[in-house]
Amino acid sequence: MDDTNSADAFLHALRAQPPGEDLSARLGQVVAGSLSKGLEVRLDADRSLEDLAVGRYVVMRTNNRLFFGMITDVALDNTNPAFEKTPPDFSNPFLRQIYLGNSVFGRIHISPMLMLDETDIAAGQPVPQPVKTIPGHYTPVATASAEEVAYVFGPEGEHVDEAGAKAHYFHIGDPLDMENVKITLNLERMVERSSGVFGKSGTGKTFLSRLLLAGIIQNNVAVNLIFDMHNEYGWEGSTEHHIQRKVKGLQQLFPGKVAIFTLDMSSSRRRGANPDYEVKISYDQIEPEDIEMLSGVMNLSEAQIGAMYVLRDRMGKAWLRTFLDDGALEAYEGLKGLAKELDQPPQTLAALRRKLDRLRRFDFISEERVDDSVSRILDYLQREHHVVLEFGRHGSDLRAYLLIANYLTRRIHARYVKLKEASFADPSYEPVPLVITIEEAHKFLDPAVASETIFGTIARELRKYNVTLMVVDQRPSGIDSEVMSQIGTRVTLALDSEDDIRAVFMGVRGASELRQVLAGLDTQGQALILGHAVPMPVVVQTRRYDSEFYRQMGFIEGETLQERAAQDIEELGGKRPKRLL
Amino acid sequence: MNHADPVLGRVLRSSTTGYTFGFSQAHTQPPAFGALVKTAVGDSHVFGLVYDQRVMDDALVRQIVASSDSLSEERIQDMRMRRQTPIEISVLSIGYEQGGTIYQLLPPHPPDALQPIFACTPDESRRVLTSFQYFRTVLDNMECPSEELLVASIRHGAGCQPPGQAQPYLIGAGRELTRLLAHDHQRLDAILRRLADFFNATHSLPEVPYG
Ligand SMILES: Nc1ncnc2c1ncn2[C@@H]1O[C@H](COP(=O)(O)OP(=O)(O)O)[C@@H](O)[C@H]1O
Ligand SMILES: [Mg+2]
Repeated sequence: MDDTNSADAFLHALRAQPPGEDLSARLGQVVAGSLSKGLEVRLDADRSLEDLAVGRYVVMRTNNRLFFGMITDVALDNTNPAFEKTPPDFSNPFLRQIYLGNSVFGRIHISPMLMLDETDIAAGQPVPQPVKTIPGHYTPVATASAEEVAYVFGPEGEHVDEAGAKAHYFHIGDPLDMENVKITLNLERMVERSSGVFGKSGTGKTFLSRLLLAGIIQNNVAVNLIFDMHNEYGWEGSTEHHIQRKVKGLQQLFPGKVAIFTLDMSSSRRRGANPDYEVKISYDQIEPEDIEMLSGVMNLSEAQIGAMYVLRDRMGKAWLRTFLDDGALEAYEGLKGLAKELDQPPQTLAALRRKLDRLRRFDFISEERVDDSVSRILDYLQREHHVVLEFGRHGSDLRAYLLIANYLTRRIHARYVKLKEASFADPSYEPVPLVITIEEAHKFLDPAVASETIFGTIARELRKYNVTLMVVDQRPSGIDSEVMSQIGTRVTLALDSEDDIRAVFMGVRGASELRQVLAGLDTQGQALILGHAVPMPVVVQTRRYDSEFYRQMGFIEGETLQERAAQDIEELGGKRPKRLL
Repeated sequence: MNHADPVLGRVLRSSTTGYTFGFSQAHTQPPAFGALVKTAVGDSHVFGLVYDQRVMDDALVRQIVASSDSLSEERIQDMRMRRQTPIEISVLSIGYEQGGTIYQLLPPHPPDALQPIFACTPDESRRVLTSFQYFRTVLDNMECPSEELLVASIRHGAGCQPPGQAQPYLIGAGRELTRLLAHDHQRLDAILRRLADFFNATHSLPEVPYG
């Protein structure tokens, strides 16, 4: 569909058509309801409930407004409860024709979503507004047309508003039961606050997140730092079909814009990637704060955590290396002597040492001084290169994943804070908006740690320092509710558990009604999107991540990487970062 | 009113809701239960449904029945021709026509004694019975067997429809009843089931779509 024409067609049809006249699309009429609880609609006798799935849009036209709503429940009703106790003989065609739709009938529940003002429609510029009232008794209800839905979401591509601000509308999927309409999502609004992609395992979270990230990259909306736990974002991902097929990673799609960093060079190479950088940290760079957030997975007690801080106060930067090194402990006359000196119970120190000793298994932690990975990542980000950090085999060890993600994010965030503060004096220091993607997000954001960890902080401070999160998670109920309520855009694939479903609706108006919609999603490839980046909640069949998508992202089969990279770099205009630190 | 129409009889008693007339047509059948008849009141025509027919006895009939003589067919017919008390037919008024408009309301005045009563033509019946407001009048009446009468009159109305229209007519009537009797599911079902038997026998055109 040509988007501008479709908007015109929509407006034209809207103006030409008197309220409630489109009989072919008519479903029924409003019979009761409220703004807070939604509308009750009695179906016309010739409409079958079975044709109406929850999640579908309807429109209600009154003299002054066009209301949009979503079907959030369907029900069977009757004029007399006696019909439930003594059902009439429905095998008789006459009785069936009389009763059906008259004495016994369908009823749908509609959640009002937004409205357009008639005066604005007449002026040709209707702006979707939140609903503040509801249509009156017996207002006709009709299924929304493709034009109406397309109009509300807006055409794919770049939009410039009156103030000159740019927004990119990204095609994220298609509405159910509706052809030729693209559902779009405002990427600028999405990255403005933290966002989340939820769904049980295998529903398509990773694929959908990769789609969103590709949109952000293609349109230069923000820079991304992706903690790629399962090595699916950077170079190549795979599908879970019985014949495993490879799908292109972000670097293959945007070779000049995406850098791959790795914690496990040999794994990355084996998978055909050619990482730009190998991330290593040294013992001396690790702070107790980095380890504290692993207290759950490392089973650290309060006392043991306290002891780490004491150790650092006493030994300085080298605390961890010294504490784990038998030779260095000699200076304190062994662990017992150290305990005495620090006024700590010796068992606490012994247990702590045993637990911290497991860090030695991580070969990305080095005894020697190493390059500063944080600066390296920032360097790339400030040049608007997106960084995918592959974990290789370490991705299967939650401790490694949590440690590194937390370690890097704390430091990157700290520098963003400095840059942002410097930018008040000199706007050229303004850091590029950054989106940090984490899988298994509940491990970082569970209520026990969310108040202390950097990820909880980022989610809560919104975009104050130009950093937001994209959390990808299969167990949203594990995420701290305060953090959850800060997640502006929520993309939710199928979820089974009641707790998880409740969690994704945390702080959403009309949530209980949308629950039915979520429960009705297919187990793969269908998502309910709500929040900041869409004008109203929407159910989509997600866009396919396939060769057609690659092509739309500008990927040309057979084009050499060098050619593509050169083009990407040219697009970036050879930007140089401004170094502060 | 066409005066060539045969007069079925004349009004014996009347009230606002209906009247009783004496049937006096020796050679024809009395109008059926549920049939539509009409009479004039001033410049309007009052329409009503036949809901009762009463054959009264008289001295002669009693005498014949009392005697044990064998009765010849001839004797019976002769007696019926010369009966001394008329067959009494009761009618429930359901509407009237004034100035070319049909109102399904009780008439302002009932017919006076001795007013002639006429049968309605199928065309007239169709016109009077196109709308269903009179259902209420029938259902609310305590004197007539209202469910039976309604079924009979709907069947009568369906029978007057042009070819192929009987079934849609029955469905329309049934849906009206679902509204009127929403509170009385058993009565509704009893009426509809009787109509259903008739509907099935009406092999006219395919099912009417809902709505
Ligand atoms: N948008 C999509 N395009 C193509 N395939 C998809 C899409 N979404 C899901 N799939 C299929 O579903 C499988 C599971 O998706 P994935 O994103 O790995 O699930 P999750 O991360 O939720 O466990 C993929 O391997 C792929 O075959
Ligand atoms: Mg995944």
